[in-house]
Amino acid sequence: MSRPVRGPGLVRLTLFNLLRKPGRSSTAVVAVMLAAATVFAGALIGTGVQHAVRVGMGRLGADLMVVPRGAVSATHTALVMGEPVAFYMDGAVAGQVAAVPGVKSVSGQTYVETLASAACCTGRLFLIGFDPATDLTVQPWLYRALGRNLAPDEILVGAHVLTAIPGTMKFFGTEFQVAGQLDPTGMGMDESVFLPAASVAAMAANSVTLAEKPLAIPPGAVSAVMVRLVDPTQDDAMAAKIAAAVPGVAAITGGQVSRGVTRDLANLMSWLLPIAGGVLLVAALLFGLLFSAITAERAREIGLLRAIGATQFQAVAALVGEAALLGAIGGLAGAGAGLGLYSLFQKALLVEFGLPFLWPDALQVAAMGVLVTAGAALLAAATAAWPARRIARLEPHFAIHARG
Amino acid sequence: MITLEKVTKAYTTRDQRVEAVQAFSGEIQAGEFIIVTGRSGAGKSTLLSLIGGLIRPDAGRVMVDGKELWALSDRDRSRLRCRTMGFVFQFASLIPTLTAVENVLLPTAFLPAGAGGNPARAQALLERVGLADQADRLPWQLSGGQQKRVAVARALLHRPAILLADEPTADLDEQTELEIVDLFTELHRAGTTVVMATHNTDLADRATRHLVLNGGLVSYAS
Repeated sequence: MSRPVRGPGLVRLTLFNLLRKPGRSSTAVVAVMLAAATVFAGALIGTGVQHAVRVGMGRLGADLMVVPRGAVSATHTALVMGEPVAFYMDGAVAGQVAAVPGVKSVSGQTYVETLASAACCTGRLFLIGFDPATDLTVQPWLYRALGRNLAPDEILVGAHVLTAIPGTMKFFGTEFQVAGQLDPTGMGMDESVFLPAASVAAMAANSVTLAEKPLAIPPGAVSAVMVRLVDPTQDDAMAAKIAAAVPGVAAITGGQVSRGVTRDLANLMSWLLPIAGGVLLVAALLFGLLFSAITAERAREIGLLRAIGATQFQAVAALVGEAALLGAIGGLAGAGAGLGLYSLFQKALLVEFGLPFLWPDALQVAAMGVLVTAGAALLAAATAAWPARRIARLEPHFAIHARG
Repeated sequence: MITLEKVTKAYTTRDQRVEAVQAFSGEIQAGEFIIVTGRSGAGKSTLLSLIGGLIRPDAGRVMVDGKELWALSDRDRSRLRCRTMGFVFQFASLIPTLTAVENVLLPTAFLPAGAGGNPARAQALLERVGLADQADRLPWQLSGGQQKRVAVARALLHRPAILLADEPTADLDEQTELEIVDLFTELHRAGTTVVMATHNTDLADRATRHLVLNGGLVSYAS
């Protein structure tokens, strides 16, 4: 079928030229795509990690956490990755912390690491026993989603815990009903199971007869004390004050967790950025070489366009527009490839570097895709600008008589 | 009217300087049909390019309708070329991704809207050069002679006052060559200024003037 007859116009010329050599156009697109995919994946990781820290720390509901002095590192891992931990301290610590001037409220939590590969447990999970009367972490969600407190045999599960709702889970021989699943935070909470502290105590008592290995929790013990401050901006000062006032404990602030995650993110980026830089450099060089070859080959055509009326600017615009279009296609494909690749390797990458991750909202991901696409188009245009300008500035006579 | 005043152009290769056109002066009146002949390297193509503003002279001035070409900005010179000149080059110079009729319409990409050239005229021109039924073909689907005729049709799209044709009949069979020269003669009779470079001295009697170039100098002028 023939094309409708109309003047070609610079835009159509550009499009037709891209289709003229599909192999070469594809090579250029792939070069840009690789660079764009790396940049997009890097940006996605950075944004997703920061988003996770922001949402996770907000959901925690506390300005700082008080834990046994030797348990700071384990707490960080549990908070960020949901790695099960179990450590205990005297429950009286909660009262001592509450007595420190500047502390608004406190709530104790009891941590349990369930058994792996045991008939009495659904699997290895991180259980967090909370005090429904004082809790800051799940109670707000409970009121919003269920409108009631949890029954003694009910649990709440994090967003990544695989279970049916309603369904049952068994820990240390005690069966629990899954009452709900929390919204994702990207932090360790997503891998955790929440239940009232009284249920933890009952489960520990029953485990002596029901579990393969009894759950031993010292009577009245807590693992952590969540603290809300009168002035949250003074969290670092208050952490020091609490550590000084209550023997044997350390206080972890949200800022410390964020800084820890930022350090781990920097560690990942120190590995990722040189790769991204290298890929970007190779892609720019490859694209530049390809485009130099393209412009040199099309010198006669550009000379013809100049002879029949194209200005230097129009000739440059046609070539640079072609490069920008290739770059934009490569950028868009790269954003898609980056998204796909990241989705495939997300788990391995984040576990390896101990990073939390929460998908930014779709609009933010789309905006990143647009930015990467626009960046790729601009970079491609900038790379093509010099060879395009060189050819366009050639006097038409020489361009027309060039060996093409 | 086209005026050339002591126009000189030389090319410097690695170890040699070639005087393509040496101090050429002359006037071409509107409506003239000039044939320029000479051996390869005599300066024919360079002279046509100088007249068309496709190459900057080393010395001298080229004026078209009183405007000195190289005193104009690139934009104005391009606009002048686009509106008043038509070019046919030795090489077919068709855009390989465009059909014959789209190639004919190519100047419309640079002409202001309504400044001439539309699909109907492009089709009519293709008919005039005997290619009405080849309009939708891509250049590689056409013979060399057909491609050359498409290039001629393109040069005439916007009814240029000046037609500059550099070896338009090279590599063509005798019949096609005569058809193209007949077309140029017809255009000249209609008032178009035609300057044509060719190897074929037999065509000289078709022109109002005949120039013979040798080593960048005029060795004969009728």
